[in-house]
Amino acid sequence: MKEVRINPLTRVEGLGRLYLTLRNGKPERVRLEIFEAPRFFEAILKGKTMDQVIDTVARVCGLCPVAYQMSAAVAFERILGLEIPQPIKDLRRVLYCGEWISSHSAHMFFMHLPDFLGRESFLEVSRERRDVLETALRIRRAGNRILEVIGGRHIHPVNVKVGGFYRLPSPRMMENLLKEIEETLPVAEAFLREVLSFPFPDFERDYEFVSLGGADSYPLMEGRIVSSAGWSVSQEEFEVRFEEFQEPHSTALYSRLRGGGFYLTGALARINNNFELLPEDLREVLKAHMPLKNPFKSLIVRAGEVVFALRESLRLLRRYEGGEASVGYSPRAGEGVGVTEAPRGILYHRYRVNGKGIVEFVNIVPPTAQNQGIMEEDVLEGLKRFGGGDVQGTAEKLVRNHDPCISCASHFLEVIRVP
Amino acid sequence: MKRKLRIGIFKLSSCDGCQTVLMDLPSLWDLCEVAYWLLGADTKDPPRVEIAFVEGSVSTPEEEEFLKKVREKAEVLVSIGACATSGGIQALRNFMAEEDYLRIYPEPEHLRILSRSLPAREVVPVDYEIYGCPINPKLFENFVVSYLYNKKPRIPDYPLCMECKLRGNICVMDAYGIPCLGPVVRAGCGALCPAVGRGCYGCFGPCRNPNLKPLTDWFEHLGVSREEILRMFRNENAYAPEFRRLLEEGLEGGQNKPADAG
Repeated sequence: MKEVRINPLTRVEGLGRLYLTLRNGKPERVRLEIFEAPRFFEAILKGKTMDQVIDTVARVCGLCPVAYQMSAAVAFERILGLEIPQPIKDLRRVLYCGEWISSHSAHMFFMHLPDFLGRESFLEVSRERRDVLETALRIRRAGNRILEVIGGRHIHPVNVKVGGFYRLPSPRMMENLLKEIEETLPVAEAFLREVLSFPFPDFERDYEFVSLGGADSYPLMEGRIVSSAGWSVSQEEFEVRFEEFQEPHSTALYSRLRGGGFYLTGALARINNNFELLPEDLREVLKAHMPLKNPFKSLIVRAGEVVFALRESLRLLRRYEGGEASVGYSPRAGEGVGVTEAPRGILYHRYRVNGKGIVEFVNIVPPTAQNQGIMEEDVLEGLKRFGGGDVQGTAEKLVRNHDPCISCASHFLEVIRVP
Repeated sequence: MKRKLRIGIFKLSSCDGCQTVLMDLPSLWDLCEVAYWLLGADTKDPPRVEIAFVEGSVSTPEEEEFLKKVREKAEVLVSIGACATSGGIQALRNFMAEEDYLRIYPEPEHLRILSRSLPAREVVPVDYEIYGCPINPKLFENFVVSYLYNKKPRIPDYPLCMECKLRGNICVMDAYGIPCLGPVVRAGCGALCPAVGRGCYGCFGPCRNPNLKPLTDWFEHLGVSREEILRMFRNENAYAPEFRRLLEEGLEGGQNKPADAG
């Protein structure tokens, strides 16, 4: 019996470590331990106004603040019964695309790519491959520019409020943004072609994929919660379908299907559940890899989603004709949920608000908490498959495939106990 | 360039947002040797560095220990971001009863946390602080370059209003009666909120000698309730000394006066 400790995990967002128990060199148990300190968001958000919650909840995650702002805004607008005009919806979708581009490029280049090129960091890669450096900077800058122009700042945007935005970007800013996205698109398409030719380890798993779906467009903020197992539920039924439970070693809760097993959310789940909603030529490029069940190929999916997000931004910005920045409302008491597709998967928020518009109850289930069980299974299965050699390196790669966002995951949730 | 600056990025309780600015500053990759950066490189054990940039607040005994170890290995220690400089948004729990936030855990006995979320300088000596939630990448870049050239880094301590005027924003408080923390908040973000027609909400924390009383009086004059005024200060920098005093003592408190009035 031997215990291997990988502490801390590197090239992942947040603080985690991995414990492997080996018997005669064979992996027997895997434990992903999240030691990121809890930050008690569910408690500190109470007593804030809805607009303050939109600003504050962004601080859960510096890589996906828009996801948090959007799940919150959707929930509040449901509580208020607000109908959001199409132009505002479009701009929000572009803003969210900006976050996918920015966050995916952080993972693709800085965290994932060094694994495929046998390097320790992207800084090292960038010294040898100026072309890849140019590509990375170009793509990430386009994502950040979208966040800045529409959101007012690329980390923790300041322009989102209940009902819409504080102010709309000027036509001149939009024009420049369009130009930048147009110039970035061919760079992203070339990068997608390049990663398609990477040698990927042979490793397929039979995941149950859970994502948003069933809408008329590739999901960011719309649709029901759908599973590759064939079922679907409304966003309101999230807590009926899934349950959270605690393990002593982790500051994040695990999620699983109520009465069932673990499921996977994130880029892989999105593309498998919504492949037909991608543009036709992008489907052509990707179809040889579908259904995509190899987590190492999540690099392909992220590169594909970046191309999609750039194109979607172009499409929406080109048809954008302006209008009001926001719609007004009077506060009213109620409870509501918002589920959106964060870069790392479905992000669930539930709020209760009083008649003065003050938030009284919060429950947040981040994607990485949902993926914890799958990541452990992947490491166990992967180590069995790839055998000895660099056990630590292999284990870390298997975790990295899922782009865990541990800062998000450690923010503890109100526990829903099975009755 | 004469030499490379050996730096490390060390993370405590935080959202990782401040350290991601390094991804967008390739100019610094040539000036620095990044010896430790869990988010972006494989080194697991903190090495010796010339500058340790610390992101995040100290909120567990492990973090306290880790920060002390980082301090020993660094010639210069720089706190970056609201978490490291003031305890961050998670320091709002410092104003709450423990049972009110521990309650959200099913089994709180598994948690090992400090009773408060602390800025780095309450645990170890800190040489510089770069403020903001998140930090402004330009000010971070300026810090590194200034350090290399033995120049004084540009870390604003004056109120946001200065930056706002220079940017040519219309004053949201004067023109529209929107309460804005700009007069007491440190410049550095570029006056982003007034630029989108809303009041500053305090990402960069208190400026030097903030004069809170006239501002909170003015908010009352605008018709903002006392409850709402205090709520505005329960932000990412609530635990910074000047804001903290206001929140602990209320608007009537003896501390809600200009600093020089004692």
